[in-house]
Amino acid sequence: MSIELAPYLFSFIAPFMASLIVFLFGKRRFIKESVSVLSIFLAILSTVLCWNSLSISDKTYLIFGKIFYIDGFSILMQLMVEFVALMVILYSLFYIPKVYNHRKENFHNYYSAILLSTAFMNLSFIFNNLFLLYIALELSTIVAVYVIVFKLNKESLKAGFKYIILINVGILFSLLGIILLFYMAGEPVMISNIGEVIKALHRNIALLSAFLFIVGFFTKAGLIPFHLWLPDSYSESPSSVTVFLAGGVTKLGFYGLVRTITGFSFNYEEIKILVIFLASLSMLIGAIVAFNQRDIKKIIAYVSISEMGFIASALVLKTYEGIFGGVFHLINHTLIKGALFFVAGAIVYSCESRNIENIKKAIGKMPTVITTSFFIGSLAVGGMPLFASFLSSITIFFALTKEGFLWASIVLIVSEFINAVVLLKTGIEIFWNKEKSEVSTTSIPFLMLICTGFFVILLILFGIYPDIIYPLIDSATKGIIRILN
Amino acid sequence: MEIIYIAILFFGFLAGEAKSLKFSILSLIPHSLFIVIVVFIIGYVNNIPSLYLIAVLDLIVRAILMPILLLKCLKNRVETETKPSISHPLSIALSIVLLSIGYNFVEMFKSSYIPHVISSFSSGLTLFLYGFYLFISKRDILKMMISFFIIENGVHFLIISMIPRMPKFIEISVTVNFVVAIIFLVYISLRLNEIFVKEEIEKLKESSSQRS
Repeated sequence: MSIELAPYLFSFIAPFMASLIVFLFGKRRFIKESVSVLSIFLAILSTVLCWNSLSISDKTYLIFGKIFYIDGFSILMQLMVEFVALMVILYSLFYIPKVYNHRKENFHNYYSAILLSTAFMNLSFIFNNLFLLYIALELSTIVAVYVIVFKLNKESLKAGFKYIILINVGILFSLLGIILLFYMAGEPVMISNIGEVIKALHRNIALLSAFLFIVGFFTKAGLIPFHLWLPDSYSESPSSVTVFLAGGVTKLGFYGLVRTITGFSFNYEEIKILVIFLASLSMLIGAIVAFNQRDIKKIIAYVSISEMGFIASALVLKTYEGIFGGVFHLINHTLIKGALFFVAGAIVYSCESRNIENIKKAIGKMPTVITTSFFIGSLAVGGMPLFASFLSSITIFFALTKEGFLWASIVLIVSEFINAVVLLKTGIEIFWNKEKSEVSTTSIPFLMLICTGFFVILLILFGIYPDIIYPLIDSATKGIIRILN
Repeated sequence: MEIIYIAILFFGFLAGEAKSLKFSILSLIPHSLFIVIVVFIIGYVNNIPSLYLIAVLDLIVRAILMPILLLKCLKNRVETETKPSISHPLSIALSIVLLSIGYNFVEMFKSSYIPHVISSFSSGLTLFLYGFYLFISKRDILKMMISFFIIENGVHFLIISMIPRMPKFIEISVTVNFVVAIIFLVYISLRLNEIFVKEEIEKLKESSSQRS
């Protein structure tokens, strides 16, 4: 292994070591907070260094033997997960001690689990060998269950059990797909040569392995019909963890999807149609089911499923615009869900309930940042102009139409509309209700407000000045297309 | 060799279909021991010494550690399974059909598409399919864990069948992942059992206070 790889591996090593330190010494004052934040900063630094090396060289990727492969998409995913982890850690500093006070002896384990899961996610983004990618992906999934069941009540334990067993069985299907590719290729399949392997496959075998990958990575991403774990895990876990799940854990499913299924869809029209059909189901069913929910986190969870359908449908398109739109929406989905779930967290923090009827009775005057963030998040879900999601949705819309999937574009627009209506209706019910006590003002810690506001600011900033994020998305898109072509 | 594969499927069937959870878990011991024997034989016949290490690892993890962990989950709960979504006699019939037809079908698939692959492939894929059937038909938490165990054993066999050209590190890592997942599942299951017991006690207290 080359010595020049060492700085890039810091994106894994820093959170991994920090996780051990926090686990062993985290009970001492300030250790868990300072070490966690510092390690994530180090990881971000390492990823930025990697991005810098890639941009100054003529190459579109960095390859280190048969083990590591880093391109624009790997870097984008790492940056996204690191940013989410940082926000989650900062938000948790005040949120967890108040809402989960009964687990105060285990707070250091909470931070340790988040860091460990982040470390394995970062590792999976740079592995070249599909088997190693699977191993890192599964480990990050398993570790995340600890924070899902952090409350340790019946509901959270049931949600955690569902999460771990469904995702583990689901991604074993993708392992079966990897094994099948191995049988056909005669050697372990690498991300760097997967395009060639897919082209050389017998048609029936290719369709079978694509199907196995779809089951595996759709389960991981939480797309319909493999979404059963998602609503419960999102609603029963702490709100900070929900952001981690939506912005990190499910994104691993999309990473796997891009590295494998997109390759099949480039060569087999049937796969593209199947994925777009399932993605459209996710868009529509997610939006419709969200209408019937009375739990604020479940509403956002189903809206999230619906939005992930947009991403999946775009990522299997054969055009640059399609993949670009999908990758852009991947970022926007993280920002929107970050803002919305952090608002939900602030509501739970002040009202101690997720049920809309209870919230309406208990809620006082909320800080402007919280109410504004919720409405901006809702409008962004609807793909309104001025927000980054407008640009990504419109790109996906045109890309789908251009490839002959007008029906899917219509489903996308209809679902966006329903999602926005559901969230706006919920927002109006909660924040503008007449039962609300105008006297009591809810105080939310400043750091929680900053974290929520930061997601919203980025959403607007990328919407008005997309040039800021354009080079990274462009590099990611080119990286994806280069491998698969 | 064929007899050993059939024995593995048979004990897998017992583990999946027995109503008594204790018997189900105990059936996993001979099931796993036969897997260990197969791994040893494949290592000996194909002259792959590293398979001996994997066989020893299997013996420790699959035949000893896993049944012990699963038996722990019986603490604080009844030893018969929660009513499954498919009735018991029908499920037994379906299992027999799935295992026998599945095994033969996979054998045919293997000989026409991948004849060069080691013989554990057919048994592995059949176990995977059977485990998945159990997973969707059972409602009991422990039965779901047993079906996950069977699916994982199937995947293990599939990986073993390509071991001559595969780094052993990968197989060992997959096994480690499996152990970690089972440990978390056992932890959750034990916590859930505790909560259910507490609820039952509270209900009993309530009913006795109402009577008095």
